[in-house]
Amino acid sequence: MTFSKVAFFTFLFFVLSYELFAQQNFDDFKNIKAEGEIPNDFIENAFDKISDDLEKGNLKLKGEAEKVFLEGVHYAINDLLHSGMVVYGDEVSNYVSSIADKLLVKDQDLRQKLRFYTIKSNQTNAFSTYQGIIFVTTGLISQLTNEAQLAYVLSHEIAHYTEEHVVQTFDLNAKNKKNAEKVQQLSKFSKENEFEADKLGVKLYYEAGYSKDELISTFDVLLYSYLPFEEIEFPKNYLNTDLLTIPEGFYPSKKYPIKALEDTDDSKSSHPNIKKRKDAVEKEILNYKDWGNKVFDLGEPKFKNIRNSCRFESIRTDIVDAEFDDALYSIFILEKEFPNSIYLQRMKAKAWLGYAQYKSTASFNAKLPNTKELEGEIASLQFLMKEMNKNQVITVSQRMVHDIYLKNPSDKVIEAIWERMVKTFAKSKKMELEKFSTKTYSAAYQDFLKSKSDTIQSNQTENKENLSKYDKIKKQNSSSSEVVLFDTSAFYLYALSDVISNKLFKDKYDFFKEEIHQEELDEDAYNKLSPKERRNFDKKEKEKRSTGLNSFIYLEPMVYSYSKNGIDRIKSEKLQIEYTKAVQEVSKEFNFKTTVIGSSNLKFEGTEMFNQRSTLTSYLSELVENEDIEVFPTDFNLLQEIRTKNETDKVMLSILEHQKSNKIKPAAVFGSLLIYPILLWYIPSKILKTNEIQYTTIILNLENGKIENRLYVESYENINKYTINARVYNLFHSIK
Amino acid sequence: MQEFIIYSTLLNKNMKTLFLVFIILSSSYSFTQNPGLFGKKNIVDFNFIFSRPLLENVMYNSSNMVYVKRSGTSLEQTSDKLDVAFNFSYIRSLSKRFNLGVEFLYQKLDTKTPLEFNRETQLDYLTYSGLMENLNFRHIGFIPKIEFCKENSIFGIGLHNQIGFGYCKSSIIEKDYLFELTKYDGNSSSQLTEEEKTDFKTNFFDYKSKGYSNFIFLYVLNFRKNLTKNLMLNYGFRYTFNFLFRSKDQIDSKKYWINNDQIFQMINAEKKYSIVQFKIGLSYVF
Repeated sequence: MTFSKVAFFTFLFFVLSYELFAQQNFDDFKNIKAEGEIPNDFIENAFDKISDDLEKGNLKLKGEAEKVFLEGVHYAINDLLHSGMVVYGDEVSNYVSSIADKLLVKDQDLRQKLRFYTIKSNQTNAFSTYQGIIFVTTGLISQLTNEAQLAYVLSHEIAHYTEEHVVQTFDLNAKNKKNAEKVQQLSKFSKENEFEADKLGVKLYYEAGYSKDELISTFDVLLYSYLPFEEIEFPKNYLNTDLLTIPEGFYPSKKYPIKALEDTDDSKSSHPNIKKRKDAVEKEILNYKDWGNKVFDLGEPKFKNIRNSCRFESIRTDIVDAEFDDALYSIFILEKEFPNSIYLQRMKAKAWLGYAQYKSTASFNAKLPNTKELEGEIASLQFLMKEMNKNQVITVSQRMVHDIYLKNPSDKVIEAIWERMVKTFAKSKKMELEKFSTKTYSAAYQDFLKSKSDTIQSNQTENKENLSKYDKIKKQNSSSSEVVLFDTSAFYLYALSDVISNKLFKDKYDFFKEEIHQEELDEDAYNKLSPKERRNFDKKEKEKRSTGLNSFIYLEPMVYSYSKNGIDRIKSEKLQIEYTKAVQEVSKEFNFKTTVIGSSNLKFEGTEMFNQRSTLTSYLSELVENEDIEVFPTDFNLLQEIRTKNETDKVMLSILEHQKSNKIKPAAVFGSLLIYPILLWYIPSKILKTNEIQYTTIILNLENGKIENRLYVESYENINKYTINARVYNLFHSIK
Repeated sequence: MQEFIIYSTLLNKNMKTLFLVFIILSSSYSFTQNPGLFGKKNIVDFNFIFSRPLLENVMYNSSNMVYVKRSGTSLEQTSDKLDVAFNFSYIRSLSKRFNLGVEFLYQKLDTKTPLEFNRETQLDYLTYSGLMENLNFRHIGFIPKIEFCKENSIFGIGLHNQIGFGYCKSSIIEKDYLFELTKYDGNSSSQLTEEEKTDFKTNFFDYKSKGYSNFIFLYVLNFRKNLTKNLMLNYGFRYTFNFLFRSKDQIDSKKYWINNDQIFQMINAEKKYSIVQFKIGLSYVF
C-alpha cells in the first residue's frame, strides 16, 4: 500500500469516525442545546439593534412607521431568542444551515445574510424574520419524511425574506393598530405573499437539484402536522405485563378516522388552503425542465438521525406542556427502534407520574381532547386515559414507574421520579395498601372462573329430588344471588400484587404516610393557635425560610413597563439593565456570591451560561404550566448540573411591573362634588399615585425543584436606578 | 407556513406566564425587616408651602371684605392671592410602615380687610370706606407627626401619609399699612383729617396683643422622588385644620378701628379658606 493510499484511508477513517461520533447516542439521548460561539443575535439588546437599523436606513418604511416596525420586530424576536426555546450551533441548526448552503450555493451574498436557529417546540412550523433569521421547529422536522421536504420549506421561507413580506404586511396593516397587534402582524402574510413564496421556493428548490416528487408531499406534512409523527396502531395489550392487565373494555371499540381536509373554506383565513397551494405549485413545476432527483443530498442516515433527535426532543416538550398522551404515544413509537434508551425510560416514568399527579386534581381531563375530537391511532391511548378513573390511573402509574425503576435501579433521575410517585400514591385518599390484592388480575380471574365452575358442578351433582318445596325455593334464590360477574373495573386492585410486599416500596410508602400524618398534626396544632400566636408563628416561619442566604444564581429579571399602548419595550429593557446592575452592585455590598445569568453577561460567559438560562427559564415555564401539581422538573438532571457548577442550590428570579395609573374617573369626580371636601383629597391622591409598581421575587431550590419562597411588594413610587437599587438592597437585606 | 400562530402563541405564552406567576404569587410572603434606605433611617425635609383661598367662595364670602395689595404707593383690589410658608421636618424611621417626626412651620398669611369701618364718636356715627392693605399675620408652629405608608415601602421613597397635631401661634406683623379711605358722616363724604389719619395708624388695632394660639391638625399626602442615593424631591398636598382660641383680655373695647374679636374672625376665616396647600421641597436622608 502506497503512502498516499494509507493517507487516504486514514483520512477516510477520521471523517467516518467523526460522522459516527457526532451522531446522537439515542440510548443515552442528551437534549438539544446550544453549542459553539454565541451569535450576535443573542447578545445584542433590542434597543441597540433598533438604533443600528435606524442608522442604516435600509427600510422602505420611513419616519414613525419605521420606528414602530423596528421596535415591534426586534423586541418580538429578542423575546423569542431569550425564551429558552431557541438553540444555535446544535446538530439540528447546523443540519438546516447545511441544506441552506445547498440551496444558496449560487447566491453567497444572500447566504451570508441568513442565520438558522432551532425552536424546541412541537408546533409544525418555520418562519423567517426581517433580520434574516430563519427559525425551524423541532416539531416540523419530526414530521418530515425526507431532506427534500425540509429543503422546500426553507426555500419558501427564504423567499419570504427576500421579498420582504414582513415589511409589506406590516406596511399594509400598521394603521389603526396597537403595538401588540402590530407585532402579531409581522408574521401574518397575505394569501398573495404565500403563493409568491411557494412559487419562488420552487425555483430555489429546483436549482438545488431536489426531486419534484417530494415537493407536493411537503403540503401533506402541513395538512396532517397536528397528528403524531407516525400513525401506528396502539395495541390494546401494550401496557399489559405479567403483573398488570388493563381490560379491553377500557379501550375504544372503534377506530377514530382522521378528519383533516385539503380543500377547506379559506375565505376568512389569511392563508390559502392546502389544495390551492398544491395546485399552484403543480403548475409551477411544469415551468421547469430536467428536474433533479435528490431526496437526501446530505444522506438518509444523517436526516434520520436529526429527525430522531427532534422526535426525542418533542417528548420532553410534551411533558413540559403536560401533554402526556402525546409523549407516551411518541415513546411507544420510538421504543420499537430504541428499546434500551434510558432517556425514553425517564420520560415514560415522568409522563406516568404527571398523569397520576394531574388525576389527583380535577383538572386532568382538560389536558385530553374531547371524545368528539379524537382522531387517528393515538385516540386509543387517549380514550383509555379518559376512561380510567382517579384510582385506576394512580395505580397504573405506580405500577409503570415501579417497573421502570426496577429495571434501572441505579439511575438517579428515575429513582427521584419513583420517590415522587410513591409520595403521590401515599397522599392519594382511599388508596390504602390493604385494599390491594396480592393476586394478579389473571390469577384472580382464573380463581373466579374456577369457583364459578365448582358451583355449577356442585349444583348439578346435588340431588334436588330429595329437597322439600321450600328448600328448593331457598336454593333457587341463593343460587341466583351467587351469579356474580367478575368486576373488571377493579383491575387496578390486582395491579400492585408484588409492589405492596416490596420492601423498598413499603419503606418509602410508610415514610411518606408518616410525613403526611405529621403534617396533619401540625395543621391541627396550628388551627388551635390564637390569632396572635399564629401571627408570631407565621413571622418566625417567614424569617426561617428567607434568611441565611448568601449564595445564589440570579436569573435576569423580567421587567414590564406599561404605557397606554401596552408594554413600553424600550423602557422595560432599560429598566431590566438597571435592575441587573443593581443586583451586581448590591451583591458586592453584602458580600454575596451571586451568579447573574442574563443577557448582560452572555457576551462574556457564552454558550454555557446561555444553556443554563434556557434550562432555568424552561423550568419556570413548566412550573407555571403545571401550577396545579407539585411538578417534578423534566430537566431534573440538567438542574442538578447547574447546581453543581454554581455551587449553590438557590435560584432567584424577580419580576418588575410598572404602570401609570393616574386615571381620574369622571364618576368619582361627580360623586366627590356632592361632598366637596372629598374632591380635595381625591384629585391630589390620584395625582400622586401615578406610578404603580409591583416587585416579585421567587427563590427556587434546585435540589428538589420547589419554589422555596416568594416575596411580593406593591408600592406607589417613582422608578429609576436609585429606587431599583434601594429595592434590591431591601430584598438582599431581608434574605441575608 | 402558518408563521403567525407560533408568534402569537409564544407571545401569549410570555404574557400567560407573567399572568400566572402573578396569580401564584398573590398570596406570597413579604419582607420581614426594616432596613431603612440603604441602611439610613433619618430624613430632613425642607419645604415651601403654597396656598390659595380655594374655599373662599364655598365657605364664606362677604362682599365687605376684600383682598387688597400694595402697588407702589397706591392700593388695588385683587383676587390672585398666594400665601407662602416654609417648613422644616425631621423624620426618624420606626418600623416598616411607621416613621415619627416633628415639623417646624413658619407661615406668613394675608387676610382680607374690610371695605368699611364704622367709628362712633360722642357726636356722630361715622363710616369710613375705601381700601385698606391686607393685614399680614405670622404663624409659627410646632407639630409632632406620624408618617405611615404601605407595608414594604422603602423608607422615605414614594407615597406617604402624615398625620400631625401641634401648636401654632398667630400674630400680626407690625408695619405701616396703607389705606385709602373717605369719611361719610350721613350727609356728605370727605377726606380724612390728619388727626383721623394719625388715629387710624395708632389705634388701628391692639399692637400689644400677644397674638392668638391655635391647635393645628395636619394631614399630608406626600410623595418623595429620589434624585440621588440620598437626596429626594418631595411634593404633595397638605390639609390643615386650625382651632383658634383667645384669652379673656383679647375680648376688648371699641377703642380700636379693628378690634381683637374681628382679627380673631379674620384669621379664623383665612385659615379655613386655605385648608388645602401644595408643598414642594427637598429631602435629605442620613
